[in-house]
Amino acid sequence: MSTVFSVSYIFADSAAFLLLSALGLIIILGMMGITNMAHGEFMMLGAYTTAIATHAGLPFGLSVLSSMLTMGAFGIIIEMLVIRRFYGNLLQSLVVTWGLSLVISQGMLIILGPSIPSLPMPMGGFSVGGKVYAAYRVFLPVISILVVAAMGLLLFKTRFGMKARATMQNPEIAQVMGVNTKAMYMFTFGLGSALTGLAGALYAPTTVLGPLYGANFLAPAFVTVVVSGGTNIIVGALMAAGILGLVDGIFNYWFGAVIGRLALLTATMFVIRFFPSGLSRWLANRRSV
Amino acid sequence: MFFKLENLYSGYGHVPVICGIDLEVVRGEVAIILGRNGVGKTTLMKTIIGLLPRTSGEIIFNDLPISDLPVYSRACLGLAYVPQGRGIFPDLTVEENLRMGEGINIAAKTRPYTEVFTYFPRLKERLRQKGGTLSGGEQQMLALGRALIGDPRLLLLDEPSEGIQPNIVGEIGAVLAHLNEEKNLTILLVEQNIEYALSISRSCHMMNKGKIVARVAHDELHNVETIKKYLAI
Ligand SMILES: Nc1ncnc2c1ncn2[C@@H]1O[C@H](COP(=O)(O)OP(=O)(O)OP(=O)(O)O)[C@@H](O)[C@H]1O
Ligand SMILES: [Mg+2]
Repeated sequence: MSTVFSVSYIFADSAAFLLLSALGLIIILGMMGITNMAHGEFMMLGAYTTAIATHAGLPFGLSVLSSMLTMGAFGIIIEMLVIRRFYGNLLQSLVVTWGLSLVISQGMLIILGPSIPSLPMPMGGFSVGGKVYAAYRVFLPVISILVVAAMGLLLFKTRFGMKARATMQNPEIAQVMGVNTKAMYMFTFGLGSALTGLAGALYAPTTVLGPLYGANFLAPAFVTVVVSGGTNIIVGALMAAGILGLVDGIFNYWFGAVIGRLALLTATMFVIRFFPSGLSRWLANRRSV
Repeated sequence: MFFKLENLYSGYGHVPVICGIDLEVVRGEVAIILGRNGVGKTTLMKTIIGLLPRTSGEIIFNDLPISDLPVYSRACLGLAYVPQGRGIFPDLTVEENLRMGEGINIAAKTRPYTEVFTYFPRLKERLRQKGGTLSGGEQQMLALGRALIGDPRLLLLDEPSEGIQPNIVGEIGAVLAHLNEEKNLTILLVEQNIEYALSISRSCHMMNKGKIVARVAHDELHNVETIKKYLAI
């Protein structure tokens, strides 16, 4: 019983981590074909905003919300100033967002130094079968499911979502249907940034806060993106986080964190080898046969 | 002035394709431009809707010069464009594809779903199907239906007969004729299929090498020699 709980706990924690850290990246990549190399730095900014707001006296929940909004606005500004000049140019957009990541992390190092005061883990703990678990680590998977559900509703049940998907499939014809695709890209980049900021904020209490905070998330986020594939953002992200989280959960429990991470990367290589265009495309092709 | 092209030039990079077109379309008219492969029909349509910038000249729509407006603004003003190759959103359902048409002509008071389903009952049977899984003919119906949902003031059609079996071509032609006669819909259509053009309009503009070279009346169109002369076949 306690083993089952332990493994499920690690699985849920890992899957939520993969899902939340990848979601913003997936949306920006899926909608605009931009691989945001500054993804980790956006997460760092989200975490910093939350930490600063919380230390200034705002309740943690409101701080998280405020950093989501801040990062959304930040994303829109970055899109207008930089990103919109590089749509459709894979290499240039890689270099330019990588440059952005350097500017942000080095800028933060100069402004606030190598670290800022960290945050205490909210919510305390509970015990199952003699082992103590952090309640916050159970809360994060719940949040991640809610966030994904909200994204699913936005993309598949609203007029905005329909226009966004149309733009993704054929931007020229979307314009012919009266969609201001420029505004659509700007807003979507803002949305992706807001989700990235949210993820950064939510994981702020789990580790030390420095300019390289985002580096912890980068590999897992990119691994999830690669495994998910681009057909259906939501389904792809869920499948990728679920499968990789399961692998990580099982190996992590019995063999420790390092082996867990190795298993994760091995699973990713396996997926790339056998489903080169990602799980969601594989699923879509199967369905349409 | 309902719709007018004034000495319009456009092309790709340094290569001019449209070389000084003057054309007026009056409200309620079906204007047809006939030209063979590669004379610039699609280029002209893309310039009108704005997917391609004009090099010089002007496009007037409802007394308004529109050639500096972005594509989506032209759509909002009531220009509906059915591209060659149809431009269906492959992963949106038929229903969603149709609903995308609501972005056209924001001043429209109605979104004529009932009419569209009467013209094309097949679309109604396939509402939940992905657009990309429709047959070519069905996609053409969907592309036209989607434009009609926009309740457009001017319908721009690029070779609606291309690659479609004759009975569906006839079906679509009949719908266009009906819309023009009953609903007074104005249509600008580019074609290379002479019989098809003849079936829906009294006269045609002949296009060659990026220019309108003549306007030919219906009875003259039956004269093969005349057509050959203008189209330089
Ligand atoms: N994207 C492009 N870049 C450069 N040249 C192009 C491009 N698209 C078309 N052209 C050229 O412009 C000319 C006109 O092409 P266009 O597609 O307008 O012809 P069309 O009359 O529509 O022909 P069709 O009947 O085959 O559809 C052709 O010579 C073509 O090669
Ligand atoms: Mg063409």
